[in-house]
Amino acid sequence: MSQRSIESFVSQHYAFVWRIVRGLGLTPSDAEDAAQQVLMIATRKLDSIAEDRERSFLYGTAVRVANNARRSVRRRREVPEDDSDTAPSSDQSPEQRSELTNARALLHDLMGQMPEKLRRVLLLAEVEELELRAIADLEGIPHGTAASRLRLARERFKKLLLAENHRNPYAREA
Amino acid sequence: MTPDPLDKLSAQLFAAAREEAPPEGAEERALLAIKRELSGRSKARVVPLFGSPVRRLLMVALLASVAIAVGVALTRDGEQQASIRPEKLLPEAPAPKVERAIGTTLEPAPAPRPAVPAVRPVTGQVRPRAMPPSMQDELLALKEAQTALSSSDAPAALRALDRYDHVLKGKMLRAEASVLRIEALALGGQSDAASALATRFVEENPSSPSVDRVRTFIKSK
Repeated sequence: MSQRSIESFVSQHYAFVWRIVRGLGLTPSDAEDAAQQVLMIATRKLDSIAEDRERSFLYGTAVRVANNARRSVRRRREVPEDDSDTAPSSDQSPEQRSELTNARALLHDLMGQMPEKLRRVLLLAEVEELELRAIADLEGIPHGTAASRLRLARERFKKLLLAENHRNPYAREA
Repeated sequence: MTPDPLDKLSAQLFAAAREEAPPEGAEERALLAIKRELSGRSKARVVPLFGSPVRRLLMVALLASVAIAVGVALTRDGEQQASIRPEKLLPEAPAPKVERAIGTTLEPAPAPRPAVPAVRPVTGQVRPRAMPPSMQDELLALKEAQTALSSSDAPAALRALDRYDHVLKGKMLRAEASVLRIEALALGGQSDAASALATRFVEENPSSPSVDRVRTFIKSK
């Protein structure tokens, strides 16, 4: 694989992979390590991956790597790392940054309480904004199963949010 | 039908997640690590220690001046330099055998090992001393390790770093020496040792500019 195509491959998929591993419960810096690992695995095998299956391969690998990383992080850390080391947007005020940090921390806590299968479909639907067909494809499940999982995931998420809504920075505004 | 306010709040939380960007430079670091990985273990180094062209020029100038100074010193008292050079600095040379001391006079005398090698390696200039080593000494020692790494000679790099640690007892560039050691271990196939050392380095030097590079050597468990 040429250097140019490696660059375009990484550029095309990095953010997606990072968001997936981050959404699966890793801190920003652990997500960086995991994303790098995922892309490294993918670039090694790229010649054997059909072009239309790249994203699917990356997603499957990202899920596996994130699960391993979470287990590893649990073993080596008692206190979780600060979640706020992502690149801040320059046009955000400190209050907005704090609000976003709190919102993300709450989201990660809530997602962390959800069963893994539901968490994944919710992540794909709400953060990646994928349609059911694409979610079913990435998850390797029938369309109907994806639809029922997503419905269940949304219900579960709302219940969890209701219980923790006092932490929701946007609820205070409303 | 009134929209559920929880739906709006959920949407805001997910929007916050969508807006989150990876740490600055993360993509570039990943690309760098991938390129290095793909270029093969024999070319495992990511960024040269003395990376920028300006620093490289400074290094060359510094090394040239040190070489001239050492050359002058060697010309003046080469024999003296050789005589005070401790044997332990020449690990490549076989240790004198006991048989030599108890051998009979009929045996041909073993050829004496030259006190100073015909082509004196850079390492020969690193001598133990009572005074702490200068920055130039430390740079020189690390440059040797770096040169060995550039030629994919991990054992030579590790020997140079051992000399830096144990003979020169360098202090000022210890972090850089650690980075080179990690790279040398990885290059030599000792990935577990490289990973362990890299983990320790990241813990002990969290603000080092090399920390991201070093992190790429840490194996995920």
